[in-house]
Amino acid sequence: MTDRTEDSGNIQVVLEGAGRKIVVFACTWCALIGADGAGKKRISLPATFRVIPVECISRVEADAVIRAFTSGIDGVAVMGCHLGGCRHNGANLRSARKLELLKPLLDTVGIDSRRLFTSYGTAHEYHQFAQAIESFCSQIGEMPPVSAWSRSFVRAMSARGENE
Amino acid sequence: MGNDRSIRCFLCRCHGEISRVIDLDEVARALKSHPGVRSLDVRNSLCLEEDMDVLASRVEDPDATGLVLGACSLYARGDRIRTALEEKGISPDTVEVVDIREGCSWIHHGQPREATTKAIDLLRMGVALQRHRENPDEVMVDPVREVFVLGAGPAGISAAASLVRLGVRVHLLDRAKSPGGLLNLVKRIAPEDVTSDEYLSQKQQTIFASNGGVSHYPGAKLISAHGSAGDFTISFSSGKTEHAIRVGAVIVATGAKILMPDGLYRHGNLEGVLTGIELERRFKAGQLEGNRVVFIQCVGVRDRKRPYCSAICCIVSLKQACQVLDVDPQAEVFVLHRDIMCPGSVLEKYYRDAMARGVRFLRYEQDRPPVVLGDENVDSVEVYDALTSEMRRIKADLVVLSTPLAPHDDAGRIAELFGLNRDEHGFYEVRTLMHPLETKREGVFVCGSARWPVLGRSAVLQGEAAAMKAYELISRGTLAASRLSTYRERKFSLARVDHEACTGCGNCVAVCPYDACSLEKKEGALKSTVNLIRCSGCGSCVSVCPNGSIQLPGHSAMAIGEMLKAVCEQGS
Repeated sequence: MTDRTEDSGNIQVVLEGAGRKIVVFACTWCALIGADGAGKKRISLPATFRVIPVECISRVEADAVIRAFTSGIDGVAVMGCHLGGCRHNGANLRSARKLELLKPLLDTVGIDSRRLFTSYGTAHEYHQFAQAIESFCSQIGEMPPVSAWSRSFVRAMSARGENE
Repeated sequence: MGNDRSIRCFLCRCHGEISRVIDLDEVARALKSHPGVRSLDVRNSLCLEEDMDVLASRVEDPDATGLVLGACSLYARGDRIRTALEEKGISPDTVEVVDIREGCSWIHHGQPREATTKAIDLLRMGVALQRHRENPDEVMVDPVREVFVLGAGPAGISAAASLVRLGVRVHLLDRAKSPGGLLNLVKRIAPEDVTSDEYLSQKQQTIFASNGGVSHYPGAKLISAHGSAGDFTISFSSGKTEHAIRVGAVIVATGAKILMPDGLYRHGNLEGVLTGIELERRFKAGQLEGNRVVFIQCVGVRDRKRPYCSAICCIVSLKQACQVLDVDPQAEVFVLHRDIMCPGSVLEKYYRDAMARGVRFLRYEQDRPPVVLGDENVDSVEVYDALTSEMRRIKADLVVLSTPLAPHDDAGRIAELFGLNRDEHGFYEVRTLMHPLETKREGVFVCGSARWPVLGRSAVLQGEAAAMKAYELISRGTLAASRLSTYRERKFSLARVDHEACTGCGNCVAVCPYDACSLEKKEGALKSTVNLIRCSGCGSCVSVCPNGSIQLPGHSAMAIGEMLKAVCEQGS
């Protein structure tokens, strides 16, 4: 399934990836420390991502991911501790399964499931964080923005769910 | 929802570390016009006392003001700024530290324009979060200054002795009639080479001279355990009477059992094939017959069924080998092993001493184990020597099987009573990484061989460490639930249920990794209830709630939604 921008009739030629926004949910026990480490090492990274710290990635509900896409975000990364190394008794394992289940659902509404990225690493693996962010940002940069049709379709669907 | 705090922003230049890359004037312009932002200042270093005072002076009403600080990461100085402000009477719940140094200027130094845009986004997200951050629920806990110690082996006795010396009342429960645990079965203890009485006498004296500081219940049986950190209620039967006690912390020191070989190497069918503990019995009785002894290591362990090393058997066999030589210096002693595990300076010396005294070591392979030969009595042991690639036949009067420690048969029941996890082998599981005695349940600590097979000396060490952990919990007087645990370094937001919206589906109960959620009947219907002492604020419940009726007040779905909107505000 391909994404097409149907916002406006006129096609704008923009720098590759410019204007794309990526949200990273990072757990405060591992991924956020990794992000901090990458900062300390002053590793140069693409400036398209924004980090939202969460206590544990098990906090990130499917709804938050979907809401990100409807509000105009083009890529969502969920980064937590190693599977098996979660500070909350393996809560991230359950979260990992949930996010895998969400991926095919995204495909069905025209949002490429590669736009939802998951990664699990430990606190000291700043290089892993940097590498994951770099490749995810460039991948999203190569993709067109999420189509306006998909955004409004999902928005309408979730609004209907709320009204019922 | 949300609060109506007015937001005051402070941006930190960090002496150029931030302002060199990010155009703070532009950030200030963008934020000043942002709804809800009342004022904005740019300072040089928010982490220094001077700026901190200015910051605090701008907060006239701590409840009605929210601070959003554009500074460094929480792990650099951010958390310290929040702590320092707390000392000035500003609650950390009203302070948002937005990381624009590690998370922005330092990683985007080549792209100042993009970095500035990102900083504006990040600060807007901070403002959105602060405006929707509700004050968390809090319960105060006054921990009971008594501790329950389960098991009176070396770990349990050490824990009890340490605690009673600190003036804490201890309830020491053991299912055996006399204290000492597995050490009672052993003649001399390795590597210290003392008897078990000598080994534990000092600690036992402390306990029994404590004038009732320790209530010892031998031969007791645990019935039930309820409650959470700071206040557990535990009932057990001792003799014919039933007791119910209230304690602030629990130390599980139940030890492990010695695995029996289950017919391996013809144990039980052939005279002269013993387990290590049967040999100890002969040592104790002083009746050792025969002077050709073969030890076989790793019996029933380090295989597919029990793929762990029991860590103590090598040392025990070395000790017994030397004891055989003590009785008869002319004895021929062989140790058939797969690897000898003697880590550390003391144990390595133990190994070298045994070698110097003439104990012979022979390595066998897992898939070609030794075979014990003999008709009525042990005659010899046939083994493939892995180092010389030869079959060897060793004449033997006694074959000693070195069996591992394994979890107790009732470890499952105790785990269930206290809400502990068990690892793949059945030992109690502890927290990952830096919390080696703490379990899934706050206020319950595990030490000694219940956690992993250890020698007496390690059991003592862990028992004393667990005592300190328990003391840390119960000795600080009344505490907020979120500050109760030494495991939580930061203040968390604990889950809150909207009882009107809750449908009682039980999803949260199923996923909570701390057993904090439960269904209780409220006004005729089942509603989810959160035990704030157990809750650690991970948010697992939030993500499975079908209608959003359970939330983390400090980080609600609403707040995340607003943060996402803030990301998209610019340039769309």
